[in-house]
Amino acid sequence: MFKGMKPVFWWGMGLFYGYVFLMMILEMMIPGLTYQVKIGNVPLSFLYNHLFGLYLLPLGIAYLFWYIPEQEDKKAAQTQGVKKSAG
Amino acid sequence: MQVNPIVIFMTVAYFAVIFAIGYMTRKASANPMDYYVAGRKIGPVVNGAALAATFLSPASFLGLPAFIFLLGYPFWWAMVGIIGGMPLATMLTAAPLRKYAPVSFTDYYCDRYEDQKWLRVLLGIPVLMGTWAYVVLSLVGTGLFMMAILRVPYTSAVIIGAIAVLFYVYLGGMVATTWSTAFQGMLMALAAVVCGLAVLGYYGGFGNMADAVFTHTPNFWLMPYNQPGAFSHPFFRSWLGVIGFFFVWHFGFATMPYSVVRFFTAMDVSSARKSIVWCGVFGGSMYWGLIIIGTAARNIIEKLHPLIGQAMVNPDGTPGVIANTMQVLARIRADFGVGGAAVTDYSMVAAIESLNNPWLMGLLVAGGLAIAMSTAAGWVVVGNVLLGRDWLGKAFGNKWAIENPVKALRVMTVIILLIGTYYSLNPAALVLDLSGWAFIVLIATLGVPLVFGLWWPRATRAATYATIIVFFPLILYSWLYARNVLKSPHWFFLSEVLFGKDARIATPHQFYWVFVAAIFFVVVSLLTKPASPQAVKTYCEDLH
Repeated sequence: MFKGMKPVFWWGMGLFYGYVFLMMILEMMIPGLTYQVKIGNVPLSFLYNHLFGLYLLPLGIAYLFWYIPEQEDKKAAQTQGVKKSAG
Repeated sequence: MQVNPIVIFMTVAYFAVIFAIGYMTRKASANPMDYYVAGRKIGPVVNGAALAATFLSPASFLGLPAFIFLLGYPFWWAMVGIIGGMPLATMLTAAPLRKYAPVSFTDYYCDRYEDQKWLRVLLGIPVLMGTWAYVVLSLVGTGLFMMAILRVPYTSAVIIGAIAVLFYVYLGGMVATTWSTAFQGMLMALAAVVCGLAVLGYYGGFGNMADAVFTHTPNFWLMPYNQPGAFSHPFFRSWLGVIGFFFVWHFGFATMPYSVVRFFTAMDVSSARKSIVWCGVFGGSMYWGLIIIGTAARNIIEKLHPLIGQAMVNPDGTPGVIANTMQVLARIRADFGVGGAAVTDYSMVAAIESLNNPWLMGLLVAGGLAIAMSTAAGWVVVGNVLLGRDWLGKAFGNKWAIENPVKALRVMTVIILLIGTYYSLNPAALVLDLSGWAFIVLIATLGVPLVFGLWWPRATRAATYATIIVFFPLILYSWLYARNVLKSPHWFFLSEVLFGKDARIATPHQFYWVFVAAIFFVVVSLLTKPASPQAVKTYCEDLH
């Protein structure tokens, strides 16, 4: 099952689910984390959830899921080209 | 209340662009491949915007801010689940399906599981239910925006929306749908971000807004177990409600027919992967704005809405004054009510109306129409290919449909929109609620065989049949039982049977069926005959 899936997929998913569930657990264990813990005047949840969890993290993972296979495909094409010209 | 000319101008400009795109792409009808999959020539930015607009429906634009308004902070995680599900699709379904390059959603199943007729018919049943529920929901959303903001009579508003969708889907098929939907995707993201920033501007920043929400509704910020006996909503009494809402829509982007078909239109595999990055930009931006609006809605409506302080009649018949948000929304519903639409569905419109800025209202109506019409069009192109090509042509060998592929799709487009319009004119609450059920049933019955078919050589045809036949009625029954007997589809349907009278366990939209269906599929696959080595090699191993 999932043979051939690129390792970056598991790293990305591990990062996303790990982050989301860790933050959920912390929010349930630390009363007030969602509103009372602030940086400046801004509740921390606007940073770790609204900005990072909702926007930056999925975007970063989507970028990695495009960029890394792209580089691997280019490398594989170059290696094949070298083999062909050597042959 | 009079409609500001700026709002009318922005609506007219929106419709002008949509009709222009439909007219300019009419030549797509000359080539069936253009009509089916936009000739597979769509670049990542356009495809990404189109993906976002198709996948995110009026249930997002109206429903999610209303959910935050009602349920409080824990619902933010559901929004993270939706956007976080997008990258999941990149490698799981988008890249292999684009490599395989099918024409229709059902093609993959029929080739992988080696059954061209009855599997195609069976797969179509949940897809048609989804098409029906979402086309109705989207046309209702179109009508609701035009009526609540532009004061257009509801029936006329629905008919105008349906004609606009019919015009561009009929003329330009997938080409017109892609370009108009991409424009709509950019517009809805812009509308949500600008409206969100305007709300923030009113409060003077995140901190002040959070303080105002806390002062007004202290329980808003509570997660389960933060305070003994207190919660933001009974659904969030335990962790199960938070996790449940996170997963309801999470796997949809990778597996739902209306988003998956957009992977087929990309230029190549790289473009399919990159379009999901752009989808995240547009969809994530929109959700960023919606969270702000949903969080502030209750507070801002009570502070600024013009209906606050106006005369009303109390439920006991005595005269009174509109003093809180629910009374404002009830009054809006009484004035512009649509069938079974919930009172909170008007909270997004009412919150922005409170800011009293015609440019914002113009942007909101254009963004709202954009998201509603793009989802309707997305489902119509899934439904017309299913009925016109897959069922009539491929499954039943109808000569006319095979010889006239574009005509067949156009006829089906008209039929789908006629049925959708009929049900939209006086929508029952059940039909609008069904969109949530449709998500779970489509992920469980179609998403599971799709993902396992792509990534597990042992996945079998028998397991696909069994999963659809068992889980389609089971999910419908459990969802209806929870909705009708327990009074909400978000309670576990066996709560009272297992835990005693009046016990309630939150399992939003019966989300657990997706995981149960996956386990069931694996077990049945292991017990039944695998596909031929040739099918496994071509449609599983070679696509990785």
